[in-house]
Amino acid sequence: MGSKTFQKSAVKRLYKELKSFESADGLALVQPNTDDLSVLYIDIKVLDNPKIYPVDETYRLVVNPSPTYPFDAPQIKFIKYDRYSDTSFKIPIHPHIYSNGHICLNILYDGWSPANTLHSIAISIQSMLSGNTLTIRPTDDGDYCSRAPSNPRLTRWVFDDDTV
Amino acid sequence: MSTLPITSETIGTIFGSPYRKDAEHDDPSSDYGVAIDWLCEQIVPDSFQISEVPLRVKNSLRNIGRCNEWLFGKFSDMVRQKLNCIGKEIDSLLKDLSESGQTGQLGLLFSRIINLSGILQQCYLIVGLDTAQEHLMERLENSIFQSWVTEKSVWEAIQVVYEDKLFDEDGSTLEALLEMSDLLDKIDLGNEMTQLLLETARTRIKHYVGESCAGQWNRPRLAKLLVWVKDELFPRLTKLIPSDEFTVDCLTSMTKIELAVLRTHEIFDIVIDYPDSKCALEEFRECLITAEQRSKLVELFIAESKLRLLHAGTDTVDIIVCYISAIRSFLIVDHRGVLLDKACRPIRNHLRSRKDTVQQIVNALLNSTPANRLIELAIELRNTDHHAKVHEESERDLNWVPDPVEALPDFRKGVVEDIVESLISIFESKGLFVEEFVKVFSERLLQVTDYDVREIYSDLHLLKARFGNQEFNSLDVMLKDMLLSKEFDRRLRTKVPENVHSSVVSHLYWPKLPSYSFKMPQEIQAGLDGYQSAYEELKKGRKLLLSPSLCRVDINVNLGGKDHRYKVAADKAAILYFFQDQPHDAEVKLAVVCMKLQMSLLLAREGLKFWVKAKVLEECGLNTYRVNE
Amino acid sequence: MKIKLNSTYAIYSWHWDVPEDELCGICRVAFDGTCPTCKYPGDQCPIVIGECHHAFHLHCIWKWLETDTSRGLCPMCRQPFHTDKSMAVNQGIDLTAAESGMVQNRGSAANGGENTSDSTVDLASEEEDTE
Repeated sequence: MGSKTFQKSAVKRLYKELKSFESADGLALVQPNTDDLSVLYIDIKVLDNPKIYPVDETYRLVVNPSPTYPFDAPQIKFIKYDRYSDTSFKIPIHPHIYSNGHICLNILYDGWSPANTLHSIAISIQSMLSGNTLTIRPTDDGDYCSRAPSNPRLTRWVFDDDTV
Repeated sequence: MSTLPITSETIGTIFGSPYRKDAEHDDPSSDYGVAIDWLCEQIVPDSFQISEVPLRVKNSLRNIGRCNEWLFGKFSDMVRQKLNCIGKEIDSLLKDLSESGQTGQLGLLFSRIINLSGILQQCYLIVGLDTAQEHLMERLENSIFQSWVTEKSVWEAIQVVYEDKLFDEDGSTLEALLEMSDLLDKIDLGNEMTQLLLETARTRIKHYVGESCAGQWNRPRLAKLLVWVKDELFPRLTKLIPSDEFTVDCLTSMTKIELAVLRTHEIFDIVIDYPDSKCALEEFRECLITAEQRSKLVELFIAESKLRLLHAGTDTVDIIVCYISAIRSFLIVDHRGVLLDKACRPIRNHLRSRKDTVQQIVNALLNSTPANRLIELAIELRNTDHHAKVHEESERDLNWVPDPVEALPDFRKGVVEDIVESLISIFESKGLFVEEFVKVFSERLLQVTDYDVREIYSDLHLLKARFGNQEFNSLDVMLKDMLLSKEFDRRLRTKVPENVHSSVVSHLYWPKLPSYSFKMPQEIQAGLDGYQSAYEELKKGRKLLLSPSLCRVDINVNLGGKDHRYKVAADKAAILYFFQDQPHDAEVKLAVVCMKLQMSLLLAREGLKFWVKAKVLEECGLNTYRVNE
Repeated sequence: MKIKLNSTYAIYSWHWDVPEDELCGICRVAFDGTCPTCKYPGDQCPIVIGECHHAFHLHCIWKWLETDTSRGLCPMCRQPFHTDKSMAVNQGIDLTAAESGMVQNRGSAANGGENTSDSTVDLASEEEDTE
């Protein structure tokens, strides 16, 4: 249903990506509804940072590619609950991940490039978690979550930390 | 026949078990004894006339008066015993009958029954039975006679007589049969006899159908059969069977059933024989009525096709030919396609498992020469009537009708009806076919040297009409490549030697081009260089990659003053150029050819073989060649 | 023996002369194929190479540069994207003109020279229309 409004270029590229996404090293791309490209999941496991992220914990990203993908960034955030499979997930703790699942990562917003793929995004987020040493939320977590729009792309992000 | 209610009392009367013993009545010198004894003497199977009643018997009967319970009891008891006695004699007679296998004895049996029955009638008169008593006696009589006649060997003999004589033209045999029938009717075996006659008729029909229809599929048979039934079989049977018992329709449907049985057994050969067997198939449809017949037909066809068609040794084209015939044949027998769908599933599964099925179908679709054994497919593809039939399943189809009850769950009418569609639908995706089309088209296009692709273009058009537009992106690009190449050729004319032409392909859209490398002869290479640089000059930012072994050249070879013209692949020309450049009469080894031309052994060997066969080169020693001049 | 060459018929395949990658970084389709919206490769769906040496289908990069997000940067290296004038493939391509809508005509302009009244070529252009 959602795919109908997708541009031909978006459909072709997303199918290519679905086909070639290598589900390995703790990453998996899932299409919960066949024929619907507007909702995809990326499941992430962090395999090398067990102090903060248990090895068997799966975090789920919901991905909503826009109809003009890849010319626009897809909407991506962590989710707590998936209604398709009726499963609960945790939002990984990280100084750049808000408790509502929004991720402060510039390639998802202003820094988007069509050269990114779902796979490259997944790797970016996974390595962001792998390299993390702090078990804290962003400093403005409570404030942000109380006023944040549901789509993180509508937030005006300020990227003050170039190291992530 | 008998209409008396059967109670325990009547049974007792007939079989006389609970008799009250009475001295007076049992006394042989009493009136009872006299009468019964005399009557007993009269009941013999050889005569049919009772002697005159003697005075003492008359007196005794007069003394008794009307036939009372005692007399009737004694009389019926006596008759039963007497008949059973005679029955034992007849048993031995019957033994002879079954041993000799002769039906002549049957007449003897019947005449005895007729005699006895006549005598008993006379006895009844003498004894003065009332109507009810007479009925009881007749029942007793019949049950005993029946037991004689229905004895296995006798009944079989009767059957044989019917089978032998029923359709005899001789009038006297009919009379004999009539007598037999009358008798059977008389001893209350009328229904059994009718049954027997119908059975005989069925056997007769079966034989007749077999004789006149087996293996005869190319002309109508049914009408003739039915005329025979109506004009010959029916009139004869009506003489023996009461006409209210059956009609000509019974025989007609019997005949159709027998024809259906025959055709069911012949089905595989009938299919093979299509279209010559069209007539038989159309009549078959008329005869195929019950679900049981239909499933038997499917079952037999499947068994036969597994036995005779679907094994590794069979040629794929043969299987497809048979499948097409089966489609056509079964659609005649059953327009709805349900039988076809069921009967042909094993064939479809088998074809699906074969590696060359797609290739054969594709070749057949594109080859409209008589050499194509599946030319039907090519004709069908070119039949523009079907083109509107690209199946788009409309959700709101007003003409929708439910699938027939017997249909399997995934039955799809539109698919089973159309030959080409049937074959395509063997495979789940059309992709396999498109791949094969691309391969075949590529081969054809690479043979073109005059840029004339009109025929291929029209084939593509037909395929699109059948498979849908979207599937043929690659083929569109391939054809466009040819058209652009032609255009280049025209535009490059002023810059490139007159005799160099080329097709430039968009490689991602073509199957992998076979390309063996080798050193191109200088003369050919020069022309190619010219073409290549002119192209790259015109098409900025692109480079050309040559497929050397796909290049073809047109050369004249002057041998001993005579010119021979060859159109050959460039690798073959390269070999000849190499020999041209050798000193006169030089002998060259295969290995040297490979090395100097940087050519694979296979290609070199093939090229040398070609020129030896053309008598341009000769093999002057093992793997050694020279010009044949 | 003497051989005389009457004529040669060659089979070539054409390739964009691109230094590195084979795939367009935007649509992930090979350069020698087309962007997702085109049917015929080559003249109708050309490629461009930036000063940064990154190559794209013209239609893909054009579409990207049109977006606000792009800020005129190359999707691969995030340097300002300018065509490399020294590359043969870029001759005749002007991305500034492209942005004013000229670029879509470029394909057909190049094609226009070929699309003469020749009947067989007309067959092909008729097909494009049906797409």
